[in-house]
Amino acid sequence: MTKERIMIVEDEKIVALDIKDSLEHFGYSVPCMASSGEEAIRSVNECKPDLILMDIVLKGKIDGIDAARAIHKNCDIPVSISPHTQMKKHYKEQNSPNRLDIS
Amino acid sequence: MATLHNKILGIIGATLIGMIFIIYLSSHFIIMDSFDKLEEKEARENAIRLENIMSSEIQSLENKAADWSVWDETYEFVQSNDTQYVDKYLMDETFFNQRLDFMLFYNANGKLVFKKELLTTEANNQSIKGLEEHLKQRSDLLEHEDNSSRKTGFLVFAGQPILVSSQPIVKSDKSGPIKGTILMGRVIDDDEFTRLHEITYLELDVKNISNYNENNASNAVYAGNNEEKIITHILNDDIHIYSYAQFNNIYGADAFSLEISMLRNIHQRGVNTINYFLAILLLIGIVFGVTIAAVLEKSHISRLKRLENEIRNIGDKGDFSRRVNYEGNDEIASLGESINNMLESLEKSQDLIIKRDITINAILQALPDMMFQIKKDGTIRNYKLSTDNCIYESPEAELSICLDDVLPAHIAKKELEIIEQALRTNQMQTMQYTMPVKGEMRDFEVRVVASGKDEVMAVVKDITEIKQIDEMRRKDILLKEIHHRVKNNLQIISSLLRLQSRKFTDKDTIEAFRKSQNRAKSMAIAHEKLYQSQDLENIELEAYIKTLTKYLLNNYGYKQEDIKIDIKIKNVTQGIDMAIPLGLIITEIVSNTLKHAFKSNKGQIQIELLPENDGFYLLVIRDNGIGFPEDIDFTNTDSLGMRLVVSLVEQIEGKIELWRDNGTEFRITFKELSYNRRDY
Repeated sequence: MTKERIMIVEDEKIVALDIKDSLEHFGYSVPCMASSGEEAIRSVNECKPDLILMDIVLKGKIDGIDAARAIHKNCDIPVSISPHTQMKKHYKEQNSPNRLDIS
Repeated sequence: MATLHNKILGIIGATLIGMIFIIYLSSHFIIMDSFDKLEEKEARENAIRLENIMSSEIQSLENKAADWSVWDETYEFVQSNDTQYVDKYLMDETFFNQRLDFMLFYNANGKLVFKKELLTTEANNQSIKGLEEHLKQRSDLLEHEDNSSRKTGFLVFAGQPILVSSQPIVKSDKSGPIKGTILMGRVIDDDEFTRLHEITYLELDVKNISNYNENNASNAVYAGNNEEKIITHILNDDIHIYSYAQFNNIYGADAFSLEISMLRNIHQRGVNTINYFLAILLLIGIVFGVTIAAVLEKSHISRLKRLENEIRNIGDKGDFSRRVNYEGNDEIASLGESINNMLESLEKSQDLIIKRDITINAILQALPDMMFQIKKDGTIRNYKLSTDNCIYESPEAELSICLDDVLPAHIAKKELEIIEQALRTNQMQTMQYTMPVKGEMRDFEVRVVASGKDEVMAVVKDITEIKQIDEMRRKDILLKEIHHRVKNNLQIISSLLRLQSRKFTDKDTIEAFRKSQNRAKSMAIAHEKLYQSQDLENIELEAYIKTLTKYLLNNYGYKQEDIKIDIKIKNVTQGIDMAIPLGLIITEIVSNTLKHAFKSNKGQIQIELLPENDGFYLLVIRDNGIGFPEDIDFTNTDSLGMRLVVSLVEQIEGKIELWRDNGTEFRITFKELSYNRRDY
């Protein structure tokens, strides 16, 4: 049985490492990580993850939500956006795409 | 003022005068010309009549002379010169009757045979003597070609014309040969003129008398007796008109002319007629003019005057709600109507202006900003302070204030510069400056807009508060950044601790890492909540503790369905200084509970925060687990967690109690500490 592949998009590398470690501890595969929205969009095709964990606040010009939208245009990968109270409220108001899972 | 009335009278008067003048002049020319022509014609006819009379005189003399010359007695006498002939025929009476002054008989040899003259005046005798002398000199008159030759005409000697006829002496049957010549005639003297005047009723005078001159007439021969000329030469002065009948002498040279003077009665009558005509014309003109003026006055001018008075009244009082009266349907009435229409428009405009005035006034009064009307040189013409009366209503009087009086010199200088710029570019200029007002530095923004050729409107806004708010907002953003950074750092510490803990297999060690990680995480969440809060100072405790306990539950591997966490906190916010110790206390106690209390992995945790009297709060953390061991004094234990709890309770100057009743219950009473907000 192949492991589910999860991509982590997080600009704080240590935090990203922590998440990766935890996920691998739970038995998932984390083949690639990105620290900016642009990088995530670039590497999503090579990496082909089953799920993307996306932080909202990122380096670079675009935030997590915009990056998730861009990814959704090209492929059908669920994106989980990390909890962030204010943002959550903000994006729920904006009728965000169904596959954007704001947990 | 040249009123319309006067102008119309003037125009009518001038027209009438001009018309009368033209009529007068043309009629003068036509009438006077014909009158004068009539007069001239009469004068000419008089001259012709006179000339005819003279011709008949000549003819009559010639006929008389013929009686003498064609006569046998004379034929005899001129040869014999007998005294009987003289006595018998040449009597003075005969001369008087025949109106003869002299008679001269010459024989065929040209010698004077006999001479008879009436002794009248010395002048007449002189003239006759002149004729005798002339005949001695010149023999033309004594020579006759044939028996019927007649030489009759005038000759002038010694200033008097003589009418003379020379005829050959022949027999009564007109047969010859010619034995001599008889000359007879009379002097045209004053008596003669008197006689002519009596015949003709003409005023006569002899003019241009030219004595016979030998030299001038040397080539002339007898030219016949019809050489008299009628000169219709007219001379006139105002009283007389003169015509002339010119007579030549017997040789064809100028002899004399008779001047006929006539009173200019016809001319005078013409003048009178013209004057009479003029008087009538004037009278008609005056009547006509007065009538037209009166009619115009009544029908138009008086109405115009009334209209003008009404309009002036309206203008003087500025009351555009009034209307002028008009009647009829001519141009004046239409003018009145137009004026009323104009007044209506004016009234509307005035109303509009008043309304706008009120609106503008209200807007200006409502504006809190100061306004200054400033000239290019910095003189303040008018102003409104924030609380003052409106600039819109300020008086006309000149204010003697300038920018230097109200602003510090360097600011005044800058403002003058932007005023100049605003006037030059015709665009709004703004400037900010800070100056002391009543001992306090305040910020102002001035907007300068050109409002005239060399005048601007400066609106000054006190932006001190806006600036302060701005400053605060910037500080808040900075603060938010810092809180975010702090949260991230704490998160990193938490992540580092977990990553590190995975390198160990020893349970106690792993647990120790996990606890440290939770402590860092609880602080990270506090900072996260803080920068998400509205004021960056107070943390909504309910949300904070919910997130915190959820995290702890996850971290200890519990599911939310198994352990029910019940949080009862209503609208309590605390500053970071209070929230961090409270968060850490809750972290320690809840961690302890989650680790030890639930043997069956199921249970309930209640967290309550209740406000009490006098600003005290009661924090209750309760579980329905196995209960805190009876043998352990939580205030005095080796456990770092409990020591931390006790220390933190001390830090917030609170009290902690432990209740072992159906599980474990910690009650912490504390009072909100009055930490002053640190001055950033």
